[in-house]
Amino acid sequence: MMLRDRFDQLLIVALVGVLIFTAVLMAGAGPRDDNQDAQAANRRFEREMLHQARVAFIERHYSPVITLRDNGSLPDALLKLEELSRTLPGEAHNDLLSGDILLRMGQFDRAVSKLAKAVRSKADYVDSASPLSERPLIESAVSEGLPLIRDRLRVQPDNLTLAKVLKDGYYLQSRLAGGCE
Amino acid sequence: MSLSLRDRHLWVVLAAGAGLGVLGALLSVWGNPQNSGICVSCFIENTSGALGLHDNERMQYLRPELIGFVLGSILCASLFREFRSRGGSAPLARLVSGVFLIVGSAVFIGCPIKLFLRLMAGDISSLAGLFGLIAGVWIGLQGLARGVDLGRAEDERGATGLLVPAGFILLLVFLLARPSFLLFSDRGSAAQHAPLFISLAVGLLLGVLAQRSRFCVTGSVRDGLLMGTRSPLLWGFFAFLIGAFVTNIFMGRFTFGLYGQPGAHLEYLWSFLGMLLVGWLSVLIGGCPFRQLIKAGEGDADAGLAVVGMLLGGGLVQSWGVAATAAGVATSGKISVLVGLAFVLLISLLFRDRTV
Repeated sequence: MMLRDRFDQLLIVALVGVLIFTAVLMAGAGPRDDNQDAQAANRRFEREMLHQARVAFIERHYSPVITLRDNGSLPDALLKLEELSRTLPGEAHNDLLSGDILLRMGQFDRAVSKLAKAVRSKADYVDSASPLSERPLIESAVSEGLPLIRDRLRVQPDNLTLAKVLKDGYYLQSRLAGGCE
Repeated sequence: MSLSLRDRHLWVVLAAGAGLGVLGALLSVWGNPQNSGICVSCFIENTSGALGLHDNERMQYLRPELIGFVLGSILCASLFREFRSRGGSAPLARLVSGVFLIVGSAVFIGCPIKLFLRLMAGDISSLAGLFGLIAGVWIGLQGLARGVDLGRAEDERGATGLLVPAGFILLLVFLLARPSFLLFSDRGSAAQHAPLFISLAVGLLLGVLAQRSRFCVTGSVRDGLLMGTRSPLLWGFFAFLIGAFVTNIFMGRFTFGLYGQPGAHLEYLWSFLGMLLVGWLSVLIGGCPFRQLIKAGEGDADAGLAVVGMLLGGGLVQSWGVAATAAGVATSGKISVLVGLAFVLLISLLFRDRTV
């Protein structure tokens, strides 16, 4: 039974003392102390820096492609992207811009595959909260491209490449639908 | 023994099932990710991330629902004098089982509760998981009938059953005080959440109902297989399904189909095996991830160890890329499920009373 002897009583008193001391420290520190505020601010700052660095990186390397795309020189923009893919292999933005340009050119199956590849390596592209979000582009690729790809696959059921593109389309659809993962 | 409508326990079970279904679907409407209004494994992964156990910036949030489940359970158990500090049966096996509960769930993308929330929102890709869960529970029952048993928890000295609830009280303090070491996602699924006090209140309510009713999804499947319609838990399970289905229909959240479903993939074999692992383990350790939290709140230190294992597993599945995404299941995920199955086979061999 607790409090039976002096040792128990001492332990209880010490426990209450430690709890009171902790509460006093917590209350005295306010909701956050300066050091905590600084740590949290540093983390936010680093995250913001990373976002900005990525946006700056994209602008620096891909602005010629974006200019060509906006001027309607779509094949030239694709050529420029191919050139960039040699210096920046595996860069998700390359796939995203390829998907965008191919979509404008009406090449839905290639566009969907490229966009799926971009989203697989950078989920931020489907995230409305991200500064890198390209959700409207991906939504339009899915809404325009997926029915066409499905129709073509109905006519050519043995076309394995097209089946893979359809799977990419479903992947994008699933990512757009949200969920926890 | 037949089921009586005058049995008060039956009504508590029905209330728990319906509450879990309705509130599980509503939490998505209030801000939680689609079809993940309640997903214990996803929430555990989020909580592990918030505590810094993994660095996936899209999966870090201290989910108040989990805290509510445990604290609701301890409040209710204390009120009805059912809190009993107990434990000591195969603790390490239970800890590792907790890890593999999350592995199986992460490969399927969701715990058994989310499986049915997905199904009741029209996601028929989750059927593979359903068959896996039923198969796992059935295999687990075959094992139990042949003497596989991790042992019964004994009353323990020292009130060790208080440690896990105390840990969750600490998490509540963290959630309210938001110390700087906690990590919170600003994008991704962890950034989607219902308002804090609504999540906490729902968690508390469901914790209370689940403690009183002993409601558990895998337990319902188990009792359904053993007792058929005489099982109150099975009726609670039906109430859960109907509650989730009706809420999804009313809220316009029902999208019937196989493709493009939120938080789902099309690797059916691995969905099946992931949920088989969860079902089998749940029978062996006495409940799904949700039930482990409720039992931990009742003072069951063995369930508490499974909860600690789940938190560890939540960190590992994200750090090692075990968790599946809509793109499918990574090789590390497939290997982890197979290792999990090897583990459950091994403990079935080692913890078998062959005199039965």
